[in-house]
Amino acid sequence: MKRDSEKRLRRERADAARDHEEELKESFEDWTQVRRLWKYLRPRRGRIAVAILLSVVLSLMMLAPAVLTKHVVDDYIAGGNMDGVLAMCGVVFLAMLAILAVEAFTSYAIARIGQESMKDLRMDLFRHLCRHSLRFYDKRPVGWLVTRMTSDVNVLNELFAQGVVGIFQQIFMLLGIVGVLFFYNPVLAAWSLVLVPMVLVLSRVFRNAIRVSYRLTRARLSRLNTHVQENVTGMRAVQANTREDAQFSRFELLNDLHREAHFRTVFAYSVYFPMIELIAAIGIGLVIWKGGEQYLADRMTVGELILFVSLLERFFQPIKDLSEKFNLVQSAIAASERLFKLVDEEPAITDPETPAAAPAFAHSIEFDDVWFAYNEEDWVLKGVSFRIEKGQNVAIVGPTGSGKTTLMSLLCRFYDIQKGRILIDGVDIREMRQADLRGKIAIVLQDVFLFRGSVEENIRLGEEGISRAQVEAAAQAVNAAPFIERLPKGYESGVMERGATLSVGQKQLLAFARALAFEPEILILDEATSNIDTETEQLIQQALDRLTVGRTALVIAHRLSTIQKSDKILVLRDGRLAEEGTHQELLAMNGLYRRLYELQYREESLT
Amino acid sequence: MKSLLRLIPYMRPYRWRFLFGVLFVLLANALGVQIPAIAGLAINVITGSSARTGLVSMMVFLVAVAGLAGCFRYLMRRVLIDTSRDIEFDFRNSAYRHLQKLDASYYDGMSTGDVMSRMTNDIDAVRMVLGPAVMYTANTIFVLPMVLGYMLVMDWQVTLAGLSPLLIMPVLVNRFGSDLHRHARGQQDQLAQLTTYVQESLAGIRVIKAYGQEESGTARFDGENDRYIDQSMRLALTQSLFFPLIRFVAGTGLLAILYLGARRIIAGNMDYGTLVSMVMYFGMLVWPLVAAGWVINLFQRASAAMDRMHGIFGVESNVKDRPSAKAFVRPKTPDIEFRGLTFAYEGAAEPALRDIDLKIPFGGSLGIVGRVGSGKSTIVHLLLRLYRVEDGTVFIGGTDINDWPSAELRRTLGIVFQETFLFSESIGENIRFGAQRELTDGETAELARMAGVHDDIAGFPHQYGTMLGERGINLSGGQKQRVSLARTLGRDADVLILDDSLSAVDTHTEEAILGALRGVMKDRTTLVISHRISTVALCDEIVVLEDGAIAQRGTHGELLEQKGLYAELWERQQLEEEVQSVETR
Repeated sequence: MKRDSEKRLRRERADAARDHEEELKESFEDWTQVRRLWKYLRPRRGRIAVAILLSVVLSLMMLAPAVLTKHVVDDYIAGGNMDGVLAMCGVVFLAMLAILAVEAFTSYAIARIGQESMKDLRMDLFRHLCRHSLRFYDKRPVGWLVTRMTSDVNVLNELFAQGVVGIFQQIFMLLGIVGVLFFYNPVLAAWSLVLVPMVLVLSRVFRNAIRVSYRLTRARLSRLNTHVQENVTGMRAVQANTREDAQFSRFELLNDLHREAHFRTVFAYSVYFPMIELIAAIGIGLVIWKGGEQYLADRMTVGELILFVSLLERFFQPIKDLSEKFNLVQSAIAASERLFKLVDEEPAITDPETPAAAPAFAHSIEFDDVWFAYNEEDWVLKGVSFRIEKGQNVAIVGPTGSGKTTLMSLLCRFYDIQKGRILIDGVDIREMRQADLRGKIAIVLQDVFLFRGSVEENIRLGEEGISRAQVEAAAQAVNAAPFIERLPKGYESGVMERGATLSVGQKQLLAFARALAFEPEILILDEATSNIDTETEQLIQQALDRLTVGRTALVIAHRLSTIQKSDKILVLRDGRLAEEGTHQELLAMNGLYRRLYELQYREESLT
Repeated sequence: MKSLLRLIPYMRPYRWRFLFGVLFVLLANALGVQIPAIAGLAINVITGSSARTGLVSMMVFLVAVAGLAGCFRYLMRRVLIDTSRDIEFDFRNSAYRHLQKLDASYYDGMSTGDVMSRMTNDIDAVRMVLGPAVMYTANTIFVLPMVLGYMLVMDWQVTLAGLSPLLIMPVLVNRFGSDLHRHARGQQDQLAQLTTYVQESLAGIRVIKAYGQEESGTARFDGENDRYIDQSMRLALTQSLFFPLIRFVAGTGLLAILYLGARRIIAGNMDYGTLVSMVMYFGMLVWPLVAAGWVINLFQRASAAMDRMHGIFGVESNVKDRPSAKAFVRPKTPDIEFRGLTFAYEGAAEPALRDIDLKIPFGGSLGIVGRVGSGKSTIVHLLLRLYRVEDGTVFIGGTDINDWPSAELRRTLGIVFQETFLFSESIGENIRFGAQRELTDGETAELARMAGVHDDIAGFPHQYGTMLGERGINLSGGQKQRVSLARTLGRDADVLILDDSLSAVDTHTEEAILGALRGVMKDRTTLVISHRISTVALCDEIVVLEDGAIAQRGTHGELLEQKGLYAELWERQQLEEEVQSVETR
């Protein structure tokens, strides 16, 4: 146990070290992904233009009070003109009112544009994720995808709301300040610009430091969150095994690595900010020195001197802000890389450009030499061929791991097969639209998945075409109605995440009702009855008998009644179809089926 | 705001660092406020209203002061922000610790997305208040009196005139503060909703696809997004007004100083340098005031976050150890006894169990069968103390279950659940997961053999080192159940509970497993719950539950003779098992 804990901790440390390496190696200047955000902003480009224009105007307006002050000093105070001073103060006041209005309006507008654009992005991602085949989901933890949809998208929103618009505002503020300085005193302005290279070098060093630590932070946060997610989901297993301490020490390590990554960031900021302030102080010192000389030489007024002091003080604010934005830009680059990589991953399964027509299911389902592997060359199905006629009830039997469930997934085209063909009415399912294909089929999976929402919603699954009456009828048919009606609010009763408040049997009854409500042409049942006690199962069996009449059904079966009644039995073994036929035929064949049957029968009679 | 007081215990260990951090803030500001004075003096020197000094030496002095102030600013940031990360670390640890203590009833009623949102967004909000908010608050508190002091000395009338508009600030802050709080909370709640929705949709993608509900799922997501935008925009509106208003108010103050200052200069009562100093000082007041607004925002968010964190910390486990549990001595051979137990879930009209009288001696085994909802699982829940039972109804090793310390209880019970949960670790680590001592590779394999899963594992590319989950392979339902059984066997607990835990395993394999378990069962107390009679047939005693009450009891043979529900179930299942055998090699 201790050995495992140490092994785990070592693994985490190795992962963390590798993260670090990777962050150092990666190129960070990849703007191409961020540029693709434009797609989401584009529909609002008119409003964005207005917002940027207003921000630029705003940044220039913010310079007005300083410039006006210069004139108050030089033109009115020097001339002792108090009325003029009052008038100018009035102008400044109006300018401030205008700034207030424009600023409030702009910031609200930008927030709205950002939110709307990010909603579009989120919707796009969601739609895209829905298109992916299950192979995609097998590889990725849900938590990871959720983080992309929420945190990463929010980072991009911040980049837009504070970054993009802010950057324009700050650049124009800078240009405005430089313009004003040169307009009033080019010599002193030129002296002041001596500081710019210092700021640029400093900012560059800062940027280099921050980008590594920033990505490192995100990578480690993501590990931390994945751990929490898994442990919260599996808390019962942790507790039942009294593993709290071991899991905690692992969490603590991840937490510590996360903190350490943050320390690097803090250090960079701690150095950078005071340095910028120091440079600003040097700027003021320069004005005092060079400006003083100019003043004494009568080449400068008091007003200009004051203007230079107040503007140079502000000159570094935009540069500082821009560098702070860099943090935002960094994380946005990282976020958009991840997001668009997700978007760029084409779904492995897509609809054909010219899909086959989708008439009602007419005569047969056929597996023609089907080969399939989840991982390449690790074949789960090895050349399976069989044919099912419309209206037939077919039982699939075979030991665990023989490929029964896979067979079902393939018929739904959750995965694409590597070799062979699966045909419905002679048409390869890869030539059909997925929606048409799945519209024919209803499937009851081994693990019943229920969503948060009402019982009714869980049966209808949001399908508008299914009425309440149909929902109730379906529930009635599978004998789910009695327990549903006993719930506090009947069909409106809430179902918790994953149906936590329902028993396994109840969940399965709901899944049956769901399948029946969709009135499928083909019904697939995957070991669905195995967790229900005999009594309940008997009721379901009746219901299914009624429903499978005139309907094609594939059942991964355990029950004698199901198997005996079925028109055909497929015996799977190790990914191959070992035998097929009716119960009687298979017994008569005197093959594997019979041998297994008799072997077990003898064992039973011994006990 | 009161909810933030709960942070004090987390801050206490760092009180010296806070003290030093705040001291650095003080020093940095004490130096920082010299700069406008020096600049003003310099202007006076230049314009000739003060005695001549070298311009260069004034510049050097100014830069030196600024440099020293910068050093302290570096220290203040390092100390205070690093401390906030340290507290975040502690806080997150303790939240995680607390989560580990909460029982099933908490996780039943809580979505993972909600917990995650607390462990990420909310903790971050709390961190912001401990670091940046503390730093800026200290900054504001020091800057205000220092700057005001200088200004008042220079010209108290002009200063007061400039300050007068700022008096409206508390009103502004108060008015907007509560709005910000409310909207920030609303936004965070809606974000949690959105997160949960995405999480659930992706986890259930197979169902969504199977039923072709991608469209309707997307439509619902659209609705969730719209609600999120609504909440965010409510917050944005308040923020859009709040900060510009603060700046505007500050601007009017500056204007007043400028106007009165101009009058003074014209009247000859003030020099330019003083005006410049005062304007610069006033500028130094504005940022701390704006920061105050921002800090208030941070406090609001953190307070909302702490309220939500209370949703974790505030939850007491339903079952707490009694003081008497301290003196507890774990029985060597624990038996299990139910005495007239009647139990109803909270809010349920009907009791889930009634008048249950059962005794499982140490070394003995009890089987429980019954229909869906007959109360089988409730018995397990109660033994695990997931829910509270009345005193004097459930005993383990002669001690009332309520008097057991929960750690001891868990150590005594080894349970295999029907719904298994394995971790994204190697298979070997998963099997050894619950062991109370270090297990060798041989022992691990022996456990897997007993659970009938060794052969499967031996066929995997890395055998026991094969990773499960996101970084590895997915096991079938039956394999998961068997690994989970091996894990529980590895715990070597005195009580073994199988809660329908071989439901996905075929009967043939199940029989082999049960046979292998017989040796293990000899020196522990075993409870087997199943919907399959074959699973319980060999138990010393079997009870049939119906509607929460014991309908039949006896050995397998006795029950068959009774011709009741048990015999009926048996007949049916025997037929089925013949068929089951078809699937087995």
